[in-house]
Amino acid sequence: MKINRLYIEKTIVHDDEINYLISKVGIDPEFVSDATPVYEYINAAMDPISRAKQTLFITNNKGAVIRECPGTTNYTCCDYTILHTGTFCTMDCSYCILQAYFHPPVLQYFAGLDSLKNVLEEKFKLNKTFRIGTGEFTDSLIWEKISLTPKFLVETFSKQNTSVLELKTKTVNIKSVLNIDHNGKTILAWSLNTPDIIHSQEIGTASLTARLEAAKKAESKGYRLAFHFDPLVIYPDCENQYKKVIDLIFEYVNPGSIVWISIGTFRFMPNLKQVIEQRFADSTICYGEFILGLDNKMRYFKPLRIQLYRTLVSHLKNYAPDLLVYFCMEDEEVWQKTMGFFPSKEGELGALLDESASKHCNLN
Amino acid sequence: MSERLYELKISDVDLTDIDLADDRYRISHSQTNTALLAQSILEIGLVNPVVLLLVHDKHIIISGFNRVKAHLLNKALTITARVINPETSKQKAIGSGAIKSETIYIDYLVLAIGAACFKHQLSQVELIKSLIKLSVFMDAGHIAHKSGTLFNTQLNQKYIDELIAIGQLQPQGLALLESGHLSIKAAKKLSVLNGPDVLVFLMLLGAVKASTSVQLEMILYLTEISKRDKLSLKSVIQSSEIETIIDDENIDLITKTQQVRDCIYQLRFPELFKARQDVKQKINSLGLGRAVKIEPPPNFEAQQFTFSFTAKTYKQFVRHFNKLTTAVQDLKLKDIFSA
Repeated sequence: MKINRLYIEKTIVHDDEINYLISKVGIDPEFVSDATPVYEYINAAMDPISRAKQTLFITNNKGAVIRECPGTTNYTCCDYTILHTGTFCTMDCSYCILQAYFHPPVLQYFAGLDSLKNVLEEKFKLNKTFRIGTGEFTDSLIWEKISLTPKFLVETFSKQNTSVLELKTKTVNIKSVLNIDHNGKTILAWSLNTPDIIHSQEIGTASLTARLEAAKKAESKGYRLAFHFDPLVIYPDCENQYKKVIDLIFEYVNPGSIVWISIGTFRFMPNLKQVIEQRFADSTICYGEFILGLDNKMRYFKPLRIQLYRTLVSHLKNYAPDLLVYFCMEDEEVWQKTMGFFPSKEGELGALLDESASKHCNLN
Repeated sequence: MSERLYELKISDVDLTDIDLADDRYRISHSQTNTALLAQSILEIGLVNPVVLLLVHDKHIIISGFNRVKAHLLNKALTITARVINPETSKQKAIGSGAIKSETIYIDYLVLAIGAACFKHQLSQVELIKSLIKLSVFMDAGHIAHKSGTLFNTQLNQKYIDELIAIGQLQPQGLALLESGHLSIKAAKKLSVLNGPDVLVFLMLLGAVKASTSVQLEMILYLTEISKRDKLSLKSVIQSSEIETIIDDENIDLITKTQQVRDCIYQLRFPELFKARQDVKQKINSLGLGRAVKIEPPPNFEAQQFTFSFTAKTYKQFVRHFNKLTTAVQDLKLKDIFSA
């Protein structure tokens, strides 16, 4: 969705980063003392979520700039580190948990490249491998066309050898980072889905082939790649459709460039269902065989998850036997029945991912 | 309504002068035992006169439909009534245009509602019917404001709006509400659907007798099946699987309701239903009886099965324990874990 209203917190310093952003947005900003007028404006809409997607709020990050992914008990987490550069998204995926996660959702851009630099340098000094990503509460590259942040982050990571940056996206916005020296320390990652799901559920995102074209372009510039099949949606003939997506991946890119592929079926907080029903009346995505999971999220009935996972993992392994494929938030039974092993020890999955990152990105 | 626009005069009215077909002011359709009421009137007399309105040459009933019926059963010729005299000066004012005729109608309506609700607590259907009649002349906010004097209880606007919406359900809807086949919560869900969908739901709910939560579950799952399979609600509800159960005259209502519920669940969650049935069958085939229970994990998401039995005596304990140890040798038990 296109931004049609821009708010800026008065205390924001108008440095190169902010001036560049404002000039690119091309809308006269409204200066505000705090977020209250932004919340009021968004909440006054019939559909606050849609309005929030068109309302950009440039502000300071009042919370943690960097933190560990909270994960959850009962399901295995990948021990990811989240770098907060903003919240929410301009694209409109029906299943997006952010719709129900923020109250109200606000499209925030966190100003301050210096603060990002400071926290990252502290992490780098620890001389430990961190997999750091910005795609947890927003799409990593939605602001790439109008912001200096992606380029700044790629350059910052290129100057160290212990950690990797993962920029996860459904866009093809890679122009500003394509020709810079990344030193192999940035993984450009794409969320993938079948054309059916992209067309019907991922409104405003790039097509599957456009994403893979972008990945191919990134690979040609030496970038390491990752793909995320998350959320997998179960629908008639979905197994064949997902297999075709896998076929396409390897038509576009070399298995050796792929650091990891994650897979995870659609899961959602129960209150998201109402949001989907209200905002996406034609969507049938929440009418699958969902049960309440042990983390109080709705999940597909386990045998259905396992069946789809088996198909995908087997198909992926046919192309790339050594490729690291992992589950996002799954339990021992799923791992065992699909992969034949389970990273049971604390941090074991994280260690596997670190190992793959080290190998592909030449980390110390 | 601050000033009453009518006068009531006590008089004996010939029963033949009462238009029994005109029930425009009828609020209550309660199943009063008219025979008992008639007997009571014979023995004690009529305690409360009925309220009648003289319209042209006939009287119409504002309050006392059952009492009139009881008098007819007693073969009485007259009934004591408080009759509203249409020749009052206020009513004459209608003719002169000073008062609108509908203002008078509301006043009679309020009288009818008051007569019912100050006599007994209105049932939900009576309340809905009263609100529907009142809503022609007043908005929900106004009714809410006046609810204390109108209904002998305070009602808020949102609740009134909801009840009025429920009142728009087909007459079958109110009949099912009255008979207890449809709960207010379920009726509220139905009130946002379109007419044909409401009708098929009413037909289904009328054919079973489900608790509120089961009614809501049926409505939810059937709606979701319809959306998921892109089928009309009618074709889902009138599918052969459900119809066969509904049409089966050899099963009692409780069994029928359970079977319809299971059938809907199976249509909504086919794989989960199958898994549950499979495990249930395997557990039953172990022949552990009722004393030893095996509970699979809820929805099979976790992996832990629960085995339990209780014993009052040591002998009982040994018997149940032995049953379990015998089951250990049974491959079907192993099968349950690998399902």
